[in-house]
Amino acid sequence: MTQCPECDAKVERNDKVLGEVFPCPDCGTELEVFGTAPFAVQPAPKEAEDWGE
Amino acid sequence: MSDGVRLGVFYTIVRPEEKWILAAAESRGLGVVRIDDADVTFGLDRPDVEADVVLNRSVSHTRALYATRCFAHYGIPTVNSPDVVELAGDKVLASLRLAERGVPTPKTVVALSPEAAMKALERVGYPAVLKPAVGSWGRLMAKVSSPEEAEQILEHKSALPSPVHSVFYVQEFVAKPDRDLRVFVVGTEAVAGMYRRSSDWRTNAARGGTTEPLPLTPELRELSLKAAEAMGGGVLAVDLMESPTGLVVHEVNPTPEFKALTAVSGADIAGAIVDYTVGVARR
Repeated sequence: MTQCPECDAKVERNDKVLGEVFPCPDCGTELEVFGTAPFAVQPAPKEAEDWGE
Repeated sequence: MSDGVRLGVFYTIVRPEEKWILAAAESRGLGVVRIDDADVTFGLDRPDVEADVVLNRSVSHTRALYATRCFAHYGIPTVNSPDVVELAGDKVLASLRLAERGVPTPKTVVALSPEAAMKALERVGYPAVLKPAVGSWGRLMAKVSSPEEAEQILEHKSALPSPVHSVFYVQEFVAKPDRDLRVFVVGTEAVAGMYRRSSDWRTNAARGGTTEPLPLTPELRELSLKAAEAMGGGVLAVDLMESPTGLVVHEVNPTPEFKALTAVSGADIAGAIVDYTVGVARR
């Protein structure tokens, strides 16, 4: 378990993997897993102009 | 089945698609090398990455373009290949290729200055669609209904700092039903399809459109495979529209998402991608 860097809400790891992007369950901020042992999250990278499919 | 193949997965972020790919690789006993596109470095002489094949899942066209070239330099094949990434990732180059290969595609005119873009819009006719040459998810796309509107939009685009916004890709606005079609191609197979429906004229699933299963008719299969082959083949999502004169291909995506398609079709797309990529490693 860790905390959202934006709103301090509790964030559970569950089955999340390194690099996974997910919304904070409380404030909806997009977060990215940057550590699994210990579990750590940071704001997800911002979408750039050349991002796409 | 794995024969000790080491699969590199080059990625920006891990979405459900990447999780499914990693799980599919693991279930096949492959060695997986995760390559973060914001972290990796490329020397000129020898690979910093120990992989037999690299699957590109980077959402950044620029990073994918340079990385796949670097992997090729090391003799590591990639899915898709650098040429396919370059071609399909740039709407201008992709449209030229589709036209060269006789794939029906919407009327398109390219201009390299705002003044020429006005001429391009006149040639295409109003309403038209103005798209960035690179990038997707419907970002910075504009439906232009009149010359007055065009002048405002072009002035706005000209003020954007990146030179890429000085390439004006103008396409006819296709009078279609409120849906478009996506066919997912892996190698020589069309593996799944879906309708994407939206009240917005942009039907990208990323913009919140809804999806429905799309039965793959022989015509759809043939046209989608032809479009994918025109780009050089590999793992490609072919986007089509139902124009008044028949099906037209408007995009072929080289790093396609497939979360919505997996849900609506039930197809194991991640597994198909991994199996195809292993096949490329063995060539």
